[in-house]
Amino acid sequence: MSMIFIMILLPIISGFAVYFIGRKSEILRDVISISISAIELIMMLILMFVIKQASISIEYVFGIGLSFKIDGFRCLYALISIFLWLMTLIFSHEYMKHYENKNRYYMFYLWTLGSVIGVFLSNDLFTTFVFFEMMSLVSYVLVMHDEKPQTQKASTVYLTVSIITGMVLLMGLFILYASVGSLDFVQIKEFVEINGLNASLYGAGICLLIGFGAKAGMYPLHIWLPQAHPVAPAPASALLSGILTKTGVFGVIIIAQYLFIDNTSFGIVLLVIAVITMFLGALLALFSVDLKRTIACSSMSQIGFILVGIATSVLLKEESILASSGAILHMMNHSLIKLVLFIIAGVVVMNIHQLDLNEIRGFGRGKWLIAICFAICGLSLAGVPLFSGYISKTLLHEAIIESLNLQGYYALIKISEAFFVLTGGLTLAYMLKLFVCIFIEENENKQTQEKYLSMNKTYLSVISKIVIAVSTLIILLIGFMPNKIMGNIAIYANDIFNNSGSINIEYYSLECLKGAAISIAIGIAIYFAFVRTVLMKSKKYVTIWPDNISLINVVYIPIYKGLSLVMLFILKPMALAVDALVYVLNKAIFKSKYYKFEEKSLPYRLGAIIDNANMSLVKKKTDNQEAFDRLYRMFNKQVNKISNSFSYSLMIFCIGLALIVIFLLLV
Amino acid sequence: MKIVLILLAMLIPLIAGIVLPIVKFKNIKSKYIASAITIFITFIIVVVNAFINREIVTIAKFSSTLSISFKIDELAALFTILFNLIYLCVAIYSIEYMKNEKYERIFNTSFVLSLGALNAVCYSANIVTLYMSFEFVTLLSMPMVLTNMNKDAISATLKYLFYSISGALLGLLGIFFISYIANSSDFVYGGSGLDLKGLDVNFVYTMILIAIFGFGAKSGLFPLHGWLPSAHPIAPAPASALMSSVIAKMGVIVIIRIVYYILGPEFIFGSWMQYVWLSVAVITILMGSYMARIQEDFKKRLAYSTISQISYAIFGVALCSSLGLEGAIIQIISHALIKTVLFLYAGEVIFVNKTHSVKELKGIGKQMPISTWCYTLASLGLIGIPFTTGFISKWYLSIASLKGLIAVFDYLGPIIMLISAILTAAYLLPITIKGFFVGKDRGLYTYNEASKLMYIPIVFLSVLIIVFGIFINPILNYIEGFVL
Repeated sequence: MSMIFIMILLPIISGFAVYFIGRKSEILRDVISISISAIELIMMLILMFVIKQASISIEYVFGIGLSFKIDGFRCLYALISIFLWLMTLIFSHEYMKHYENKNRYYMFYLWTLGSVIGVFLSNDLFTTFVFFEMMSLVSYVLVMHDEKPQTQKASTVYLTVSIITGMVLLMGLFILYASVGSLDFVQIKEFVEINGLNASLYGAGICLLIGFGAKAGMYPLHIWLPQAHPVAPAPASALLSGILTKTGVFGVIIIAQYLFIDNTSFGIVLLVIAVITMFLGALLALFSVDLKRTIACSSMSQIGFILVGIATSVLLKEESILASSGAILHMMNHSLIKLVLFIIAGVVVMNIHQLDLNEIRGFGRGKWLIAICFAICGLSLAGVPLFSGYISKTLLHEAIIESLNLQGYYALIKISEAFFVLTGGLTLAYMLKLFVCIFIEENENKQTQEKYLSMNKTYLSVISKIVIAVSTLIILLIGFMPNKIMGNIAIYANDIFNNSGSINIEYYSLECLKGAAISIAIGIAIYFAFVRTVLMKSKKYVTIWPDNISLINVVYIPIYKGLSLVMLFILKPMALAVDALVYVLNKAIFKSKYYKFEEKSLPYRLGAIIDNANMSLVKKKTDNQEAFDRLYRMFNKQVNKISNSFSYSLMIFCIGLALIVIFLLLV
Repeated sequence: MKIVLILLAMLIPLIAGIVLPIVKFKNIKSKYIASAITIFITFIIVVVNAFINREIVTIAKFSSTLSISFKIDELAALFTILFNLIYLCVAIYSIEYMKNEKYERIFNTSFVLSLGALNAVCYSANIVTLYMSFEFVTLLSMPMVLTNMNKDAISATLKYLFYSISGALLGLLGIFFISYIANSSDFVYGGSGLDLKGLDVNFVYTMILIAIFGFGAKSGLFPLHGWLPSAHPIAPAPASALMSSVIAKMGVIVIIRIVYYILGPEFIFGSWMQYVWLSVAVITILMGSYMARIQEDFKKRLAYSTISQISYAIFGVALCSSLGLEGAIIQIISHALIKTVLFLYAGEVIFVNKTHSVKELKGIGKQMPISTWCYTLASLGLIGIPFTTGFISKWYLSIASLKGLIAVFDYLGPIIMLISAILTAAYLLPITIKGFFVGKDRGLYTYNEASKLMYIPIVFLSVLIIVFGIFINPILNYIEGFVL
């Protein structure tokens, strides 16, 4: 039972150890990191096959305690996570050779592992949140790793999104805990089943959806995803895309299954968001001319597919086994596929330090192993029959078709289905674009091409080749005999959806193949009619996606600026109110020139406020404070001249006398 | 014996504070070691007191209602241990920090003396003693701001005095009425009954509000918060650390004593006064965080952050429920630990780099990795990330707010706290990020950590932040033992 506990603590503690060992010996550090994840893998397998079902709660920490559980889905995902960690750690040994700060990298790598296991094995939202926040912050360091200016920018976006949405998530937890009295999944479910959903629970649900959705890369909170993945080191990108986004998906599943139980309106909202995410991601991927960015946007799109599965599982209520199996299998496929794709992207970066498609063109010619692996992953991702992706996409497609029966939403779901098929086509198109670019075409520059060809023997060490081959082999294997392997995995992991039973579907029936065929046809058509014509000008890949029109520039930055303006004009005067009052009184009563609270005059401060406003709003440095101060001094000089004169005093005296007379007359 | 122990906790620092400046020491360092030892002895006495002493000790009796008496209840025991511990850490830190200061004598005297007054505030058994000790804290801690003895320091000190004294006078005005209507001026949890004696209830509320604003001045409650951002940057780092993490808490303690131990929270719960109070607390939270965000002076930033963070505790107190008080107490503990680390770190940066500006802190993580790590942990605590005490306090405050059933504020409170948390991240984390992730300028920075005496207290407190962030339950149980 305490094995769960050890599994979480082991990577966290050994993270420290690895950091200090790394200072002495790099090889030892890498070996220890790899063996730690291997030990974790073995422990996970023991949990999976020997212990099977267990839960543990630790009540004496964090005030309300933590609780963990192992069951089908949790085990499956923890296992996949550890597998990805093992593979990427082995690859890291070669990939990270030329990086600095490797000790830090390994330490945070292991910490992320610990927190991810914590998230996946959690049995209440509090535990989920604790490890989720830890994961967000720890993985930030991985994204930031190379510390280049562009990286800094991207990882700041990542951190900002993480922290803000983390706080929103926390708000959801507050509300939920205050109304339910517990954050245990089952107890939330029981509470909702008895009392129904009220306004505050809806609020909590929306907060949770924002918090988890942002990590999953859900529209419109996906902004960090296309930025953070390309700048992170390739093994870290593989994890970000393969596992970290899935923690968000895990959260969404929890919301869907334990809070919004069979709630149609939630299902519809999630479906719409999912379809937008799916389509937009594929579109962004198609237009991208950067290898890792394409794969990252593709991640967003595939998360959209998974969310479609979750949404339809909500819509279909009790008969949602197809939808939930589709979602689970697609999660698994996506994790494994992205592992291989990002490692191959890493191979490219490692050798030529370029990501632009025009630069890396022709790199893969003659490198058969990665070409075949890339092709298998691409085909699987695009859902081509005989590959694993086809199975999960077919299940998802069937789920959408099934939910067409839902009263009142026929048109919407029909449109979703159309987008589903279209996005399947787009997936094939952008994977084809990448494959043709890297592995088939020749580079424009003959010398570069020769350089690339000369690397064919030395581009990758044997160990890394084995990593890629093994990972691809798993993808290939699970694609065969869908009912035997993938079907059983789906049923094994279906407990989180509270579904049981069997998946009755003929994967290679004409009906199912038709959907895939349409997708493939669309994909090939788009590739030849759009990618090769519009997106390629004079044999070069061009980007026609407008650069400055992004959600960040159009929506988030104006909101931020507006809010800071409002705060500036409301809160700053408040902060200085009493100081100003004291200052005025001081001037009025004492008329002292020697004693001031601050050395600065009121106009100087006004100028400073305007300067601040300028700085924070338009990023322009102005010098109003000095100018205002000069004016004030000039003015003050004149006023002093007047006020020191005898006639001025006489005048004030007369006004006072007149006021007294008026007062006496009135009374 | 027990009476002696109680008195010793207050007298040892007071006597030492008078004796230490007179005694001739070999050098400044040994003087500070002596004061650290004094504080350590006080700490031991306080810990012993906390476990054995629960009876009331009357020193002087002027009339049937007016007496000077001390008593150690659970609240006092908890806070004195915490505050003396922080004093001890700061004392160790100042051994190194103060060695270059010209007028360190002023600081040392005031530093040791104020601990005595501080223990007296915590130990006070009735409102008269409390008020008296409160004024003592103000007066005895005032010279700490004056340490630099330049024009700025004098004006900041005057400002501190002006705000504190006018606040305390407002408080005194309130206290007159409060002791008039209260059946007993001794502290009993839940209050010992009220008798309005013909006073209009709204008038009484106004007076209580005035008292709260008055004592709130010490804790940076809007509108009398102005002294913090002036006094903190001027004072030496150990002084600012104490000011913000211990002395500023005195205001909250007095308010807790008045509301929970004299009036009883039920009297205020649901009245218009509570709404005014809560809104002011909420405004202060947001204002402090926002103002901190736009400051460029490191210590000024931290000072505004203190305004914001102590208002969390005031918000919890203002909820007038036992849950709210529990949250407030945890927030006080958490903030005391965290703010000490932050200010001591700022002091270390000033000590080593001679810079006050946040913009010049690039690469600080490469220069002082250990302390910057501690700073990062403390920042995460202040934001409220899990595994730190800050998260626990935010959790309990928010749950108290949501369960408090006070219209509007039940949701507004947590929302404002989370917005403030985001602002906190925005003003604290950039220092870490710029400090550690310097890109290709890596070679420019060399390891330049201050001496061990300076960073060991920081590391110790950071470890406490994490340890209490995880294993907080004993403390929670202890608080629930007397609060619920």
